[in-house]
Amino acid sequence: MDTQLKRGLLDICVLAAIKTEDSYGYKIIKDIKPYMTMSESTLYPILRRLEEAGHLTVRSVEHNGRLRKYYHLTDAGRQKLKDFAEEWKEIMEIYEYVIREGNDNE
Amino acid sequence: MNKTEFLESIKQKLNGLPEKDIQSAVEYYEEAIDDRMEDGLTEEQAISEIGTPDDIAEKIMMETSIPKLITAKAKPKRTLKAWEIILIIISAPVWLWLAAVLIIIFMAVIVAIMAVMIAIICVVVSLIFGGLGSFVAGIAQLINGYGYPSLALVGMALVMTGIGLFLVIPIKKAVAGLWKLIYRFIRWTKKKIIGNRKAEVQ
Repeated sequence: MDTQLKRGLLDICVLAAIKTEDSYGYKIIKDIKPYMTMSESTLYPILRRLEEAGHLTVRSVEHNGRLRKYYHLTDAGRQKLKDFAEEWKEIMEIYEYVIREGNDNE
Repeated sequence: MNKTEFLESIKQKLNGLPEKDIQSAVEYYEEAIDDRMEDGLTEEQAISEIGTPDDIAEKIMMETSIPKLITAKAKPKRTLKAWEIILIIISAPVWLWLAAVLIIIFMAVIVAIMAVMIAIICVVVSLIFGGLGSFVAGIAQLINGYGYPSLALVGMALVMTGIGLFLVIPIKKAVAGLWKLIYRFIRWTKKKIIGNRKAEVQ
């Protein structure tokens, strides 16, 4: 897959993973696993980037005597997910057009 | 490699980056290991699942901005002796200029690519609008009775607009290609600054 496209999709997947409830690194990876394999080394820079962009916020929560970082989706992040869904509709329309044309030519 | 060694190794490889960035990465990977061990993995299994410190450090550095990377690379890897500090201060103008020159070259390349992009867009726009303008002028001349020369003008105007319109699609592709080139150049520069880590391991 095109690297830039994949980068964008990874960002969206991470945002989707924290959509319903706040989550932490390991859980995000496990939740995304059925759809996309992501390593910790890939996830970490994405979380940093999304935090800098204001799409999510981080807070530390005590867990078993240590700190665990939970990621929370902001309104801006939610908007990004919505934008993605809108864009994807357009892409799907183009996709259907491409497939249909291909069949006509055969 | 145990957890402490693993985290220490990450710290070493990120040396030069701002302290809080290093701290944040170490905390993150410590949590990642602890979470896996809580899930039933042994320390070793947890570490091997997470990856190598080299890979981790490289991915973090690829996300770091170029000025930050250059500062990180320029920073000394150990505490300096007094005479070394004096030497650096004396020679400061030299490496400061060098770093500045490198950054300027980097920006110059990007500006150059963008200039090409703007130039080709301008050519197409001027062809189309120049053509349309000449067409209107030619028609006006015809109406005012300038005769055959104005017909030639109308003809040339149509040719210009035609060439302009014909070039729109290739130019669009060229501009997209140039954007990709800029993106690639930034990644290439970062890779150069980070250096070839595989060579260091061998």
